[in-house]
Amino acid sequence: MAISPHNPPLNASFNPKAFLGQAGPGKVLIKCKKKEDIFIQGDVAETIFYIQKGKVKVTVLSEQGKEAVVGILAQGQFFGEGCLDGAKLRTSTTRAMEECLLTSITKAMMIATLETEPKFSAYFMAYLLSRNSRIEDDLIDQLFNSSERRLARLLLLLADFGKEGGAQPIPVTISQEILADMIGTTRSRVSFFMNKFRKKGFISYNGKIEVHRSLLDAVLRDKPQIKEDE
Amino acid sequence: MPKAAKGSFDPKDFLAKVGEGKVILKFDKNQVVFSQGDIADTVFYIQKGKIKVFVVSEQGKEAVVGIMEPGQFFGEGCLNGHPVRISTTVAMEECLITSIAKKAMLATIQSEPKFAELFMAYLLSRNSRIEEDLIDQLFNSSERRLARLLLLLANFGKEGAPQPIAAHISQETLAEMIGTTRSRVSFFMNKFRKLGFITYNGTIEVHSSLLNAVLYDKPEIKRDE
Repeated sequence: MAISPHNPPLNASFNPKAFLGQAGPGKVLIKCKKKEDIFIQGDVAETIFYIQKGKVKVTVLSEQGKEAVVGILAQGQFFGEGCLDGAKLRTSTTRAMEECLLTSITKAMMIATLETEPKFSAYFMAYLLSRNSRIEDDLIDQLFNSSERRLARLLLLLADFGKEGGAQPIPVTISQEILADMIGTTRSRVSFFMNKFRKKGFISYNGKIEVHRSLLDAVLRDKPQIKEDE
Repeated sequence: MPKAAKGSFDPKDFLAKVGEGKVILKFDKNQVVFSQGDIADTVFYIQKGKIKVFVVSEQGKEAVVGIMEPGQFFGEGCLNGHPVRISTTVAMEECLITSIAKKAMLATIQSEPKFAELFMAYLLSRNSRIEEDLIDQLFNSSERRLARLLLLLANFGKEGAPQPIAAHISQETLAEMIGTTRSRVSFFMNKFRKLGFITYNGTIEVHSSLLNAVLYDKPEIKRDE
């Protein structure tokens, strides 16, 4: 099936996932190795990326060399979409956390497809809405909560608690440095809280972090073990 | 890529008028548009005025997530499947708002590419702003966060001359926007005034010296707590 975005037939059979899964005009498939940089803060911004497989870490570096993790993006999510909002340069650095399969789409192709394919535009808009909610939640979390509670919430999110289906929580394989950068605290604080969570039976770890349902209970029911304010 | 059939559709015009699933509402200063926990089934578009968006924690602590201006939307979380409002929105001055039913919103996004484009541009810019606010929280001291917020509120970085910040943005609101206490805000405001970065009587006038202090990372405003 030829996709011809410049000649919109009100294509009812247009499949956004199939479109994103294949190379084509303005689209390239890219394989990244673990720890490989995809783009670096300050690079020229002219492509949008879609994650087919793997996880990507988005970090920002301050002038003082302090690092903050703005997000960890997974399969089905986009990144680099800031260029659609007029950003000329990348405002963050993105790095593959494991082997990744990405689709890189030129800004021009992205704009053209958004314009001509309502299904693609609906798909991308759904992503933007959910990404907005997540960043907003992260911001509210920063404004309200202690670093201990922020760590508990982050672990629950990384272990996929709260997703539908009541599936088994997945083990978390992220370093304490990255956890610290994600909640804006130091590695030693994270290490201290992780130890505390382990002693209380909220988590267990050897290599991977296993998050137990008791951590969710402690956060939700606001048990005094996890204090709300600093 | 001209599309003759849709060429005449004007999204701004569409947003300004009453129609199927669309109502124009007037709000007085301090009037609540919706409250945290309300059923979420409409999206709002600001024609005139400013709207404060805030969240209340179980402990009764308030955090301001944003101050929305003409041309911006709010309440779009319902499109993302939120059944209830996760924030409270209140008019900061007299506001003229278009309320659009979720169904009408989704239908128009689908049938009118120009409308979809306008809404997406809003989402992308909102996305960048929240991300910047989050980075600000992760990196900066409350003093620097206050300085940045004042510069943003006074329109620095946008085209045209900087504007005084209206009196209705109280020190409480400033404190809730950067996640600190009113007394800290009051302390820093005094300091900024003494350093000549701002002046205030009723409205707050922000001077470009504040921008210089933030950009060039002068020791007057410390970066880390």
